[in-house]
Amino acid sequence: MTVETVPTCAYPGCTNAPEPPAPGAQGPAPRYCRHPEHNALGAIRISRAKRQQRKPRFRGQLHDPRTATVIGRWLGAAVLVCFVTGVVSHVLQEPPGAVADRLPTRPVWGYRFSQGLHVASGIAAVPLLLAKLWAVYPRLFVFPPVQGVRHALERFSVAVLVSSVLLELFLGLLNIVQWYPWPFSFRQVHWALAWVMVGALLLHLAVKAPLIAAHWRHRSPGTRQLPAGDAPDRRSLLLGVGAAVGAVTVVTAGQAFTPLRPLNLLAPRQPDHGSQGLPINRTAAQARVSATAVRDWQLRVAGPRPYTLTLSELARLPQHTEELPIACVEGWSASAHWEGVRVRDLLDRAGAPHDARLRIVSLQRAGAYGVTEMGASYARDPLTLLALRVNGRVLSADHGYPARIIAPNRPGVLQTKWVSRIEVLT
Amino acid sequence: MTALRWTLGTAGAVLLGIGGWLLVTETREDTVPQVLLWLAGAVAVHDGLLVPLVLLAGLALRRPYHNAYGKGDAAGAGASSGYGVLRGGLIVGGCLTLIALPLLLRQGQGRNPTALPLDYATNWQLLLAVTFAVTLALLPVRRLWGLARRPRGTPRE
Ligand code: HEM
Repeated sequence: MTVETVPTCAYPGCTNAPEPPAPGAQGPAPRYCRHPEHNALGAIRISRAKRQQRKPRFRGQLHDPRTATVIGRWLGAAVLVCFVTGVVSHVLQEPPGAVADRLPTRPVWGYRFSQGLHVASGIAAVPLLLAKLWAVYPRLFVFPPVQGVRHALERFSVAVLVSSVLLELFLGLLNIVQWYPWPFSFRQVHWALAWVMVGALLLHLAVKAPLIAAHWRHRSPGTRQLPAGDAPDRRSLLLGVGAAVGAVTVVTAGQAFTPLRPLNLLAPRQPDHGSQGLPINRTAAQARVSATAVRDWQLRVAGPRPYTLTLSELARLPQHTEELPIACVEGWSASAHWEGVRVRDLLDRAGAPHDARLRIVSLQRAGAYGVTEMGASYARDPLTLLALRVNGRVLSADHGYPARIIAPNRPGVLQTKWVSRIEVLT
Repeated sequence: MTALRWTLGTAGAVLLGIGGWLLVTETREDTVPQVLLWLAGAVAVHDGLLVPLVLLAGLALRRPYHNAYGKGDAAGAGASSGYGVLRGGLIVGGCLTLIALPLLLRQGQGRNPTALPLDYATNWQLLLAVTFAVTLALLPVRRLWGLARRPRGTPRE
């Protein structure tokens, strides 16, 4: 055990006493002596220089903190956008009880926008992540690999950050092509790792804060310490990475963003490719909706005054046409004209209370989401339809014939097809 | 700064904790070891395969390029020699290829005809051809421009 006696300057190897606190100054006492280079940045620099001598040399340029900071900023922004839009999607799909009846139904394109952005920012993060990790790759070989408890923790948090971001992007990219080669549930793991990833990112920012601040600008003290000759090369690298971000975005974003549709070359969906001009996620055959079930179809509404309607009775009720997007969790989306009966009118006829939540039951026999719940804000919205037609034609089997739900600002998986029962929950 | 750092760090630790807790409690029982394996696999493939390949490509290209076309400027930054354009072209082509890979591997195996409806092999080749053409077109432009206008921050002789 050692006993701390007189404090010394925190600069490695310096034994001077720290500067005395300025008279009347608040906050912690200064940790460094009066020497002009003995400060936090100087200390970082010298301990790195020492370590530098002991690790393999990377002769190439730009493996420096300025490059890591500039690419890091873009990557950080992309990752945070992914996280926030991911949370939005999760809440809309599985709302906690307290908000389930109050989810916003406007703007109608809200989910289309946020999920399109989620997938686009994830794709844009790919070049950024690779460039960032290329820039800091030499740091993998610091020697000795572990220099104390603090250093071990720091390296562990970096390992968590890198592995979780890499795996999140990989899972997402494969999910949008509907390829699931892993043994676990995509949704559960993607959701949990999102929190791990953002937590590790904030931790990373806290650890690197002095270094980030020292290289934040072109003229920041740390940036000026780097070889000036690297600056044009760095600019050119950043331009290259920026071009890659632009390229991967432009050739995929058209699956959600209509103006880019002509350039949609590498997206898993083309929004106007599909029966009746719309893509399909699950066909009637995949959902094992049997022909008999459809032939004998009746809509049952269970509530205070339950009733049953045949298709022709349903078609004689007041019909409304709305233009609403269908926006898939996989990021593609398309707008269509839907025609059908307002869910609200069906509920009034059943004597449902205004704040009632619904359970929607489909004829579907295979796959998830055969039974879904709909909160009161959607149920009462005049734009929420039990649709019988799309883009002027009767729904095809794959689009949910005889009747499907379409509601504003809602993930596609909850726009239940082949609806056979609506239950008022109280 | 210190207060901000501690706030960020604490928030980070809390979110990380939430993530860990979600992973342990909200998934099937065999998920945690599987995920750990996949996390390690992602790092192994990236750090052990992808980055070394990229570094090797850089090593193989930069020196011969500079020998053939000069370093452009005394500062040796390389940017004005046009090397940056070549590197940019490779980054763009490489990233497009990476994004295309899942589509190319799954072409024809879409779960229904509206999934993976495009001809991705053709589209990918088209994009590589465009990248190649743009890179080729920019190379002389950048070299001439680099001769006329020295990069910022380089001293005049
Ligand atoms: C999800 C995003 C990010 C990932 C995966 C990531 C990854 C990494 C890794 C692996 C390192 C090397 C760590 C080490 O020293 O061992 C690093 C260093 C660094 N990062 Fe990040 N980072 C991310 C975001 C950011 C952001 C948003 C910033 C700042 C705006 C940033 C700034 C830095 C700086 C300044 C360094 C030090 C570079 C050096 O020591 O040469 N990073 N990052």
